Amino acid sequence: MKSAKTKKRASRILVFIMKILVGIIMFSPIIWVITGSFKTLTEFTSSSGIFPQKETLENYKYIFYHSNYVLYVRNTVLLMAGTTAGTLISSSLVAYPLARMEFPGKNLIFSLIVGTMMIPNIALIVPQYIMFGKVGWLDSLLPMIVPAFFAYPYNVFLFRQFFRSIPKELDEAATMDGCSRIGIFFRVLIPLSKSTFTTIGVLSCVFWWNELTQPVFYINSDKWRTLTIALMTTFMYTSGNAFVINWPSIMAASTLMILPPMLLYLFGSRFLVEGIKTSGLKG
Amino acid sequence: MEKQSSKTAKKKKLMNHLTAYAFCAPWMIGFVCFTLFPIAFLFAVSLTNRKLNGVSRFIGLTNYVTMFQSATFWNSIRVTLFFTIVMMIVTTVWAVVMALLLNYRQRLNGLFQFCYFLPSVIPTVALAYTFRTIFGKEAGLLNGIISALTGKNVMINWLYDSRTVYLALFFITLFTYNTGQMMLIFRSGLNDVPRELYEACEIDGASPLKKFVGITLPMISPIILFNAVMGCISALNGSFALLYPLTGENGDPNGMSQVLSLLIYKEAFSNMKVGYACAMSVILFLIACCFGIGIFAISKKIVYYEN
Repeated sequence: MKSAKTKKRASRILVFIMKILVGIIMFSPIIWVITGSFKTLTEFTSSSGIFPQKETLENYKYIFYHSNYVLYVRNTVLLMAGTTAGTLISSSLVAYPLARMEFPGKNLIFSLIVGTMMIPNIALIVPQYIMFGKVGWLDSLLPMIVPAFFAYPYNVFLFRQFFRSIPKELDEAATMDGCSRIGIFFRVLIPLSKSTFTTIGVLSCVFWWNELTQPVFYINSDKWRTLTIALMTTFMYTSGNAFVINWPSIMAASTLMILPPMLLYLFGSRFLVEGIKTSGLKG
Repeated sequence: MEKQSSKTAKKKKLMNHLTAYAFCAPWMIGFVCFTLFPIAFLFAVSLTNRKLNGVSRFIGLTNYVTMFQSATFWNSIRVTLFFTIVMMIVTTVWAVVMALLLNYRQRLNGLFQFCYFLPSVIPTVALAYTFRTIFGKEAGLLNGIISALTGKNVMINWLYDSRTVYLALFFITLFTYNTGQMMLIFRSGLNDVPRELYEACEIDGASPLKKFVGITLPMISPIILFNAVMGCISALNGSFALLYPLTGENGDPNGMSQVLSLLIYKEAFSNMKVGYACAMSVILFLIACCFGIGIFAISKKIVYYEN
């Protein structure tokens, strides 16, 4: 009996040590970025020490004085807010009948949604580029914000999973009280789905804050440049020498970019696990 | 009287159907405008010699002929398949490991989840640059650590050496957005596994490994499938954002990391051959379809569903 107890204890300690090891692996790049942002260029390119020998704020000053940093932040926030609002509204609307109503063609629509989930966006980006060029949306945020208002399959899917986990009796009770189908959605489902709205909202914000591919394709000018593109272009080179990559200022810009998702996570973490429902997940 | 009530019932049913379609309308419009039409357009443009400035002429299957004779294209196909499959497996396994560790209730779990999930919210570009410096030849963190441990002066250019580049790349995929998201989904799935099953197993004196293979794995197999599908798409889709800042549009070293999306970007924007890039997109589209169908075909055999 005693040996079983010590065995259990040993395994607990073992798991704890593994947790710490994985934690170190996962977190070390973040520490590297943050400490790197306080190093001078010379130190960054000559020593591999984690902590800076002499802290400097030059890199942060460089970012603010040598680029339209505030403009890039504004663009990124606009992109993030527009797409997130769009997808929350449209995806939840579309998910409602798929989770709750019976109508002809429901299975077809759901299969098509799951099917389109499988198409990588990158395969269709060139025709979309030509299309958006025809309507004159290139070099603006519209090619990314407008489609968000027409429901992302993946988010529809997550909403549907969550709506299905809410007991159907609530709908029936609401119908008895004279609630219409539309009323059920607004008065029953939405108030009960706060955690899903938060989860999808947080995930969407983080996704668009970090998105590089679509802005790289659609945006050319400095006017609509997002932070991710700025990281690849504006902060890349030192002002005096076009061939020396200014690593510490990239690290400083990266540090600034990590902070908002980090705060968002701290705010949303308690919803993150409960907001994703996997029960009854099929295909 | 009865006839009338059946008529109103019918009318009510129709109204219900119409409401349902109205709710679905945003998706339907989006599907036609941003998916169906681009697909048709993609096939059409792939048959022309369209340039970036919009000049185009119908040239039949010439693009496809050129493409199938190009060594760069075939290399890219190989890299894409290899990269997608390995990344899918590596990230899924890593996400399961992290989820299992976190679901083992202990002190400081909140802190651990923070550490495990945070890398996935780093912008991919920032992640790419971070690892370019960590894996760098001079003053790189990894070379520094190895040098300190072995006492020798290690100078490996991890990302530009053909022997280490894949090792480095797949290590980086552990930190991507997709891995973190998968971990959350696995955590939620593991929480749903009924406790009684484990208790029954413990009475029989089963080892932890046996419990994992006998209970956990079959119970979460639908979620593994879901994540494998999502992992596959994001490997096809997200590889651009990761590899473009990491190894450039030529996929250094020697095109070893030039996945199809990088090649499409290069052909469309550097070489300005949009028609040719569309022909490649068609192939990428077909590869994605094959992956989707393939995963579902395999899953029918090995995934366990309740009821």
